[in-house]
Amino acid sequence: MHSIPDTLEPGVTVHVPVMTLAGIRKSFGPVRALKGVDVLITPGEIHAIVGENGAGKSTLIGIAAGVLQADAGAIYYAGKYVDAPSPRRMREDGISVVYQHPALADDLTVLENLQLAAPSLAAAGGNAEAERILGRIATAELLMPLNKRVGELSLAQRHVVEIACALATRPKVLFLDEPTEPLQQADVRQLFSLIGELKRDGVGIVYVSHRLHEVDELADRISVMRDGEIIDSRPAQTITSAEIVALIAGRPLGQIFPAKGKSVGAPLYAVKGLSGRGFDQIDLTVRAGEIVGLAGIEGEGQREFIRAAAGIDRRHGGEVRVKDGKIAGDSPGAFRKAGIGFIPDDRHSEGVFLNLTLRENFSLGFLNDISRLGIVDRTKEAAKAKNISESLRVRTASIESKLNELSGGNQQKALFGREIAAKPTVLLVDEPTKGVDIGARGEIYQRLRAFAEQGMAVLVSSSDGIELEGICDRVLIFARGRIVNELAGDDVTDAAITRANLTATVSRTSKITTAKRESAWRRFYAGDHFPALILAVLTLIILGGTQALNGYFLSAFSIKSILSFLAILTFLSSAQLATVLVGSIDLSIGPLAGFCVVLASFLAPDGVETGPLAAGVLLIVLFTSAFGFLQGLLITSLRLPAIVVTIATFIGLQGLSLLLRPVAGGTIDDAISDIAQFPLGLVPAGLVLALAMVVGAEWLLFRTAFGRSFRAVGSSALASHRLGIDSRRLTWLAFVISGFLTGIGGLMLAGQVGIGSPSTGTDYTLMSITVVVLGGASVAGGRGSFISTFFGAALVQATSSASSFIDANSSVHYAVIGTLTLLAAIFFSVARRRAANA
Amino acid sequence: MTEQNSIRLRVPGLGKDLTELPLAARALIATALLVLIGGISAPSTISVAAILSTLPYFAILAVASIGQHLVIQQRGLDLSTAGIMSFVAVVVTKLPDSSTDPTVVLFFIVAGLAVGAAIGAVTGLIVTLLHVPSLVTTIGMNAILFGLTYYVSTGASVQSPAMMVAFFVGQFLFVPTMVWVLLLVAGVTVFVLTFTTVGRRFIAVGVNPPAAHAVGVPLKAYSILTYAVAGLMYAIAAIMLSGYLVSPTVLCGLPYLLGTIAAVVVGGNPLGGLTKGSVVATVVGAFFLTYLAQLVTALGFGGSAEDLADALIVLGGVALPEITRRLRHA
Repeated sequence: MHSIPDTLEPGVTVHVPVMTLAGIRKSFGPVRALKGVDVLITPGEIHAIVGENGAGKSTLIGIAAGVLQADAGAIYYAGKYVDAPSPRRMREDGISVVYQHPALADDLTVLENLQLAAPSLAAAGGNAEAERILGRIATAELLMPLNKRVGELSLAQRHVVEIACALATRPKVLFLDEPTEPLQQADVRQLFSLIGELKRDGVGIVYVSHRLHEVDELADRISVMRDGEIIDSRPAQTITSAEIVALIAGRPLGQIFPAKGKSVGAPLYAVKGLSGRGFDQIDLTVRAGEIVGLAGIEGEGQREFIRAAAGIDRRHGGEVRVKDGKIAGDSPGAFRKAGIGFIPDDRHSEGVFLNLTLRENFSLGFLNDISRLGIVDRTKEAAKAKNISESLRVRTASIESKLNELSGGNQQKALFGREIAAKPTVLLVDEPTKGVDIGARGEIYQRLRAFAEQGMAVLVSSSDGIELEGICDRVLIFARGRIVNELAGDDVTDAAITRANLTATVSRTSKITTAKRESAWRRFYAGDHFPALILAVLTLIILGGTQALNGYFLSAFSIKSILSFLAILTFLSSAQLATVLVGSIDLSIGPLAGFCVVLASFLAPDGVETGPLAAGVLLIVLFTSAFGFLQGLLITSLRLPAIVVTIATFIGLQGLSLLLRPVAGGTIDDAISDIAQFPLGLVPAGLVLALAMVVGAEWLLFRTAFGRSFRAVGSSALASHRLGIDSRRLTWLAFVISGFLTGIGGLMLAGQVGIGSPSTGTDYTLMSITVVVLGGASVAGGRGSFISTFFGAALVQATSSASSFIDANSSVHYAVIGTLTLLAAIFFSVARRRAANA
Repeated sequence: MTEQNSIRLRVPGLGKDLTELPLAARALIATALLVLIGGISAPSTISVAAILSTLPYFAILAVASIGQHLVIQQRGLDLSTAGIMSFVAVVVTKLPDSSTDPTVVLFFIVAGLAVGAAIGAVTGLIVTLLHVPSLVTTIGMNAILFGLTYYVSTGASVQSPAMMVAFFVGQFLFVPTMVWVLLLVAGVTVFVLTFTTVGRRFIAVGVNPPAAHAVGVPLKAYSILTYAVAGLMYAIAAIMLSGYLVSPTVLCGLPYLLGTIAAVVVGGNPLGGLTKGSVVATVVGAFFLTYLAQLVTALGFGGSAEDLADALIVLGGVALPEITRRLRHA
């Protein structure tokens, strides 16, 4: 710990830490990610934390940001103990994090994302300030318009936005987690000079990276992390790169690495002219008995290459041969059949089936070998599973244990076991020991070598130079998506790999990706209000067309009726939109509106006095809001799926209506419909109210911090969590709003129906979803507009009125609404995927 | 059998033990409890005659629920159950009702099954290839199918062929033929899921799609197939229903919208894939709901109370496991 001397000599600056992490411990299930970590962050100092994948760096950052809660230990900030760290509190206090994998709200614009991070940018002059921040971070090639949707940005641009979000709050402490990964050299220089400026401004900076040359260049202090502990922390000038490497590895290499290959046989695996996203024209050959490594700084194309070479991701051109046979087909299945095994980099999401047993996991690798005529031989299956489990020494209670009961190392061994048991000719491995403890590592290396010794071929991609040095016979260096160097024999050393990476780095050139200034039309087309225009045109066509067919259609009476029903549909669809925006759905809207009709027949009976009528109306809206409150409570507090909860209440409410009104009865007072249909100029008062609500809601949604948070919740749960937005509370609120708006719509419906009928309203569930989808809202959440929804309601109401005018049979009506739903959903799905890929 | 199927009993804390039981066993215990309560409060509901009269409804719900189960296992949700069932039921009754030729009857049954599977396949294509969420797709399909059903039937219902009625109302070895059909359908499904390579791959896709892709499973084909098979299941259920009801109405499929989801949920199956579900648990869930409906009626409540009870059961079905989990972790 730093201590402050009793007497200060003049001219000596004493650095008091701005933030201290003391004795931080954190476990995930059986895995101890942090075992008592201390970190001091001093103003104007760049503190680099280095270590391998899985050493605990990202967990440490999560805790400092308040995203994760430590099991033990304390955080001090600005001299005070932080008693309840939360993402919002830490950010507001002045602690910002640039995450390795940015979590941004894809459906929101760049500016909106920045405003979510720093609400002050919403004030006047915020745009200029946002432009200024982006300009400090990004080179001209990476700059993007502020009103561009984040989902349409490139990886590097997203990273720029992530950094901008962190800087927008003018932090006193800045954490950067592998910030240069997707950036080109020129962008890296720009970022480094920015970091230098921040340092001069007195920001305390924590720089996490596994790129030693970056650390060398930037750091004032270097801490080395290994297996959840900081094993050394020194001023940068007192530690050499070699020492750091030794500390990171933390073991004598000879002990865990097997001997290198003795003899090399015939070529087994050959790639010719393979091209794809991120790599170009790759040729390589792996021979029997050989382990070939792929090295390169993250993002140079080696990962993309090995995935395409294994048949997992698409390739643009070139061919892959196993034992001189060209692979028939493009699917992963065809590649497996040809004798290619693959171990992906992300074990949990792509490697194993956590919720299946060891036996089931194993047999998925070689189902055809243990089955006849498509029927699995259970005895063979169990015997084989036992065999794999024992030969790889997977520590497990039995082969019927689920994978998620095993430690990371044992899961990885099981994954290797599965792939080897499929008897491939060549094994492609992306990061063989990511998140694997040291003991299991040794075993995995031995396994790989033993596999090669049997006359097979192995291709390994790894970000760990020491690992490549320890196991590979040859190493190919990737840069800019091409192989730029090859190391063989005694040249295969970590130092040589690092050197080769560095020289390759120097020669990197920026890709010219000039930011296209988009036409205003294209902006509008991709925007939230484009659907409104199309819907308005379609509505006019339908109304006009029907009028042309039958001149009696648009009578004064029917116009009034269409507008009154439009008001109802607008309220109910806006209710639906509220839940859809946060990524949820409310199927109970129709029956709830119907229940309002039944309630009104009791609470607002014909001839009731004004006082009791007002009370009744108020009670009904209170009831529906409370109903939404309860639904939201069930969904958010117990994390139940909204579909299931609201489908249950969909049925339950219909039952309730029937219980209260087994047959239609009870006239509803005319006052309700009189008020709703009171003509204000050309339109009924109900519609004026609906329009006022729509405009107000739209303003809230797009012009306020509340609205941005609302959309962020639906767009990305992770991003909103990191920003400290309480997604549960907002989802809950969405259901209260839905209940409230349904109450008003339901009352208007009661006015129209005029009698306590138990079976009205139910159709509005489908109609509200149709309207919301037509309005361009994304059912996955985060995207939608009340104004577009209003025009969607207009189209549905026009269609509905027109079809019942032309043909009283309700069949047409249902089919038309259903077709509209599907067509709109397909249109938006296809259009948006195209926009995201552009 | 394997370890995972053995019943581990630990003292104390019953809640802890229950969660370690396989899904089917848990569903069975809950059902046994319900029948016990029902037997005490309304003894008539457990008479042989009463049980026999519920069995056909149980069989229909169970078959349709197996279809829903498959879709839910593939991380979807099928809200077109009602539409497909109504449509197929009406298609089958479109056969000239005087017909006594078994081949004609059979032809219409096969046609009904093909229609169900084809509708499912269309849903699957839209969901899989056009990336429209299953919720929106099936809601849209459902509306279109109801429109079509009205159109085909012109609102009125027709009689099912006498031969079909005779088959489905009849018994074989003292057990309603409907139950035999269910046993066949459930048996084949369980066999395919447990013992065949297709079933294993199907489960793999539900549990972890990217990992299934990596071991060479064609994801899109499985996804489309799932909706097609689900459509087939609804069609089978619809034919059973039209045989049993004699003259199915346009809205006859409606109860199966919630009913099938409820059966899957009451069976304790997780929504949204991730873990392996149990078809047997879903079938038990269907029995639970059918018996409950009968019990509610026997206790003197009408259809409205049945709706309410269904709603509460579904809410309880999803909420209870979550609440017990919280209590244990607290």
